[in-house]
Amino acid sequence: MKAIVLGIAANTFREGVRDRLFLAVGVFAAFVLASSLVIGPLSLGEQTRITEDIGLAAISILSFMIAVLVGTSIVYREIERRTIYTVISKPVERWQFILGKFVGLAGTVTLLVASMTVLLLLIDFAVARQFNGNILVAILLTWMELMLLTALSVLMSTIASPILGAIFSLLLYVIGHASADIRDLAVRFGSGVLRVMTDVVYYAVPNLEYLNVRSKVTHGVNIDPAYVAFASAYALLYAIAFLVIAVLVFERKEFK
Amino acid sequence: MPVLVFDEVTKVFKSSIRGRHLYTLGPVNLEVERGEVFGYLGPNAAGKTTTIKLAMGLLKPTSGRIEILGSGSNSVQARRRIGFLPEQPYFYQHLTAQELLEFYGNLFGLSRDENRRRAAKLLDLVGLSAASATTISKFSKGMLQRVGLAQAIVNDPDLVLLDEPLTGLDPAGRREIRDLILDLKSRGKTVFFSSHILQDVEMICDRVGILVGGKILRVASVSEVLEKSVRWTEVEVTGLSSEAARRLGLDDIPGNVEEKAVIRVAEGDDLNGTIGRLMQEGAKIASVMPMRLTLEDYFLSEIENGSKPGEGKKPANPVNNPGSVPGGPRIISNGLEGKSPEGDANARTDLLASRVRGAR
Repeated sequence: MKAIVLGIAANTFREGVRDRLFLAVGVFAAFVLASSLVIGPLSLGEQTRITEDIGLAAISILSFMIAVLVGTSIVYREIERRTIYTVISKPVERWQFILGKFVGLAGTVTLLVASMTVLLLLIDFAVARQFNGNILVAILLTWMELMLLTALSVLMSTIASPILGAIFSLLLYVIGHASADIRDLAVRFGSGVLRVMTDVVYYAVPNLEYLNVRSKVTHGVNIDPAYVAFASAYALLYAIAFLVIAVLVFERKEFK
Repeated sequence: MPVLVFDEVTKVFKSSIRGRHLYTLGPVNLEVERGEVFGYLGPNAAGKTTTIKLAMGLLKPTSGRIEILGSGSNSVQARRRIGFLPEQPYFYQHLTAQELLEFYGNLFGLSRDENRRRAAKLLDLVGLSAASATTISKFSKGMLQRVGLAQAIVNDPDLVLLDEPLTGLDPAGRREIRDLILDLKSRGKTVFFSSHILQDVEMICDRVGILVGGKILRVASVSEVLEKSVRWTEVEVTGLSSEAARRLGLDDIPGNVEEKAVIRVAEGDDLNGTIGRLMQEGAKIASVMPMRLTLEDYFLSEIENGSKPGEGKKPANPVNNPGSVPGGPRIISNGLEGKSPEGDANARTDLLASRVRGAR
């Protein structure tokens, strides 16, 4: 049973890393990280912080791009290209297929995050002559956020076309990061209806800001381990919920 | 005990917006016995692929019961013993042929060594050894079909369902796949495959089911079809004068028949008597050729009769259905195509020439 999930995951991972998009994003990521070496000295005395800010933002945004661009077509494309026929007709449970696709894509995203992390640490060391272990905490929570978004993308690919799925995922990403701010604005200046609406959005959409400690870390704020555990569990629960919905949708699916 | 059972199975497709009926399959009643090669015949859009997808659990029936190797069509356990090749298969483009087969082997829990060994053996079996390290994206249609067949038998299945397995192959490739299917049969496997290449079906199937417009018109053994098919005999003569032909009661004499004439004697008519009378009239018998309907003729006549439900079986038309020859012996050609003023008779001859093969 485990072998089946891992088999599908390994194939998905291989497909992901052999994709030109992955290579392009990887090269671009290296370019962005290296550019911080040039931009950093322009900020008076803040070179380390600028390097880390740029690095962490690049890790978050570029990995999100891979998760969404690959993820939202990950099941859809299998159906569209009919590759799914020869997989689902083997002794494969449908939940194993969804889980395998998720694990494979999560692996691809993790590889990108890990490579960029190593590069960022090296650049950081070159600039500051020391390792800032705290940025690993920010990267851990960014990675948890990416797992949540990867699961969301897999769900999207079972119910919508890649374009629609990508738009929805992007919207959720933006709202997820800004819902608290939007709600605050509505509380201060908005009407009653607007407040209710922003409340609904605030509670319905995962609050991705819980997982964003990037600027705190670069400003030298220590993150409480209990907070890290709470935020990780929060992301994990959402990811599981998205995957369960994806499985329920996929179980009912027919392949015409 | 049957390995595949369709019991009153229907599948209704509705348009997603208005819920209008788009297409209905069935009710299909079918039993495929262990160890047989079953050919599922039908024109395009008859519902062959839908039937196979229902068996594989890729579609769910609207009503009825499907049993495959003693389990339901969604049974994961049953799928351990089933092989499946979809129509116009498409595979992961980023994998090599070897990697692809190893991937499928993984899904059956094969060990790494066993997987590698089996993948190599199967590629050899389908003639793709030389392409084992080539990525699937570079494969031709025929190669895809071959690797598709290899993945269908990666688990050494008891039952193999193949959707149009011979499409896209050159004659040599078709022969190889035919041999492979016969090899599966000789090893006691059951093969269910859909096709519209009747010659292949005729050569390798034990039984055929004919599906038209979502309904099974007939299930019969190939030998039964061939035996029951209406036969006639063509007697080729020379030196038969037009007067003599008239005296023999042959109608529709197409111009000059002296040089050569082909006389069709329907099955059940007095062949010996006809030949005797021809010889008495001074005709020289050049050949006597018993003719039999091919499966294709049978198939076409079934489609023709089944395509208009409610009308029942239409009376056989001697032009469109050359197998049915009502009445006594008749001249169907003077053997001088192009010279005869009787276009109709020649048209009939052409049709025969394209449809009828010699007795087997």
